[in-house]
Amino acid sequence: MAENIASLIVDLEEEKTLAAVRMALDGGVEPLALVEELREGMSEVGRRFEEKEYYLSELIMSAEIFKQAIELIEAKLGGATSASKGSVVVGTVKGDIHDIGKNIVASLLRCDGFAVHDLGVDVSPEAFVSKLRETGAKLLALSGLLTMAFDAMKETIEAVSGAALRDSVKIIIGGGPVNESVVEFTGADAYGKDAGEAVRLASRFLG
Amino acid sequence: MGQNMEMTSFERIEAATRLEKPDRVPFVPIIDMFACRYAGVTQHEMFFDVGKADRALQKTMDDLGRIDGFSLSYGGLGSLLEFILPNPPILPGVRGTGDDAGWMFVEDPVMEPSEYRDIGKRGTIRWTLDKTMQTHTNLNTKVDVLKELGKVVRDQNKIARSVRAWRKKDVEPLVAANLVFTPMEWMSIMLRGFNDFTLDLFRYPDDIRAASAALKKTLWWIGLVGVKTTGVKRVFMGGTRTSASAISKKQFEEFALPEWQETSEYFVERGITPMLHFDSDWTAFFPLLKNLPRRKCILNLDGASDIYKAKEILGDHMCIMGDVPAVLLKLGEPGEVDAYCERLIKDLGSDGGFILSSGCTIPLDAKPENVKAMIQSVKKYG
Repeated sequence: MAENIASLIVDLEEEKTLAAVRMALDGGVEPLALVEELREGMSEVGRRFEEKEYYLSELIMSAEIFKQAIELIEAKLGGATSASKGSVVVGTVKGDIHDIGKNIVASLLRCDGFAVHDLGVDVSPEAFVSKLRETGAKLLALSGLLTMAFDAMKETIEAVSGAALRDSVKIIIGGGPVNESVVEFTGADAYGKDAGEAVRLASRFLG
Repeated sequence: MGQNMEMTSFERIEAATRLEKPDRVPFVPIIDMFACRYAGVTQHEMFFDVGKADRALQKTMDDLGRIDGFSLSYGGLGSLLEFILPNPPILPGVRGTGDDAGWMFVEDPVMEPSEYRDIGKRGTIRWTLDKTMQTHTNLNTKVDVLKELGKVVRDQNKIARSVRAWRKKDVEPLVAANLVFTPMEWMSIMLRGFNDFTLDLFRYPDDIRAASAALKKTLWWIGLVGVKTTGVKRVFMGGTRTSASAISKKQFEEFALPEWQETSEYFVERGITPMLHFDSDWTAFFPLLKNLPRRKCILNLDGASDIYKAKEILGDHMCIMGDVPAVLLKLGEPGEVDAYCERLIKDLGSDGGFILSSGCTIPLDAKPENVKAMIQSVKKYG
């Protein structure tokens, strides 16, 4: 059954995956084993995306199926499914409300086992700093699509430094036009050219 | 026109569009956001006063150099965007946004998946009007709608006058305010939002097809009205949500390609050139774009697609336009911009069929010296 669930999610079979999870839970299969199988499926989806066999829409659909399956399992468990791989504070920087890339990254980070604190869009530097302090997160992921967002990213990173958190927090950035020159301009540690790379960076920095 | 005689901007652009070799590579950026910031005109004024936007562009050209034309222009477009978009956008100086802020689409879903089939049943115009009145707090009665429509007509007529004035100065408005969305792009951006629409593609494919069939003629008609109003026989067809950055090749072939093909053919049959403004990465779909009319379209890329691959695969099929990246214009140095443009002009423009442009919009915070380098490059290398 568990193997079947992994392949069902890879094949983006929403209803069949959820039906298989329900059946497995009703049949007494260990919930955490199911989570592992779902993650195996997601890992294969990620590999296919990296190899350009899958496109973003397929990544989004698989993450949606994963999210629903986890909700079923958590309902059975009465709580969270597993220990977090670490905390990440995520948001679109001040002056920018584009959230597509940010939402995809947040969703994939959750699928990969990170605790994600998503502050939404148009987030002030102060709000990022406050959330880093509150959660103790060691990774900050800043998103922005406009070139004006580069200034807000820089301002946010300066605020993190000003709060004496920079040495303990890694900062990654992303968004349509972001490249290495923007990393240099803002003082970030790295950028993700797509959502998959953002997750790999998170694993690298928090692993 | 002989090869050695200097062409007008219009002739230069038309020659490139027909895949011929003009006297030099034309330069046609999206420039008005930058020009207004440069000339001290706010972004709010640009959106709601085409005259101020025009004066800002004139000053920019006087200071930094002449351009052959400008691609999509936001000058005076505010009232249209306010009226036509199901979600009122974030516009500078409107609903509390700063006068000199950038503008953005708002992508909150305005419909449920169960409503896809209602579009055809109700009739697209009526359905859209119902939605618009639900989502726009200033449109409570039909009289309100007519008043706002009146503002749109007034501003479109001003844009038409602006177009004629620029043409007299030999600066060609490439697409003016002639906007066309394909149904898939419209549904993703305006009606459902990217994430929900992506999931809908897997869950409700037949309903999306039905909505697409219902929407297409209205979306084409909007473009046709723009052409008739401005007299510019080109349309801006924006694409991003059906790119290879968003959907799979299978989904592109099944849903999007037929729309791009049919929409392009509709305008080409009427003597109108589709300008395919394709943001995000379309590289994987380039071979499929050969299904669009040959020698009749302009493919405008933003720097995310491989423009060299575009030339290789589509160079004998459509005019290639692009793609000086926004990041380079903001963070780079004039020498880097010059080198980037030189490479594009020599590699892609030496045999014609190429228009140099900014990758999407010149950012309003671009360095003026970088914009100047880009403008000068066509005279140096073109």
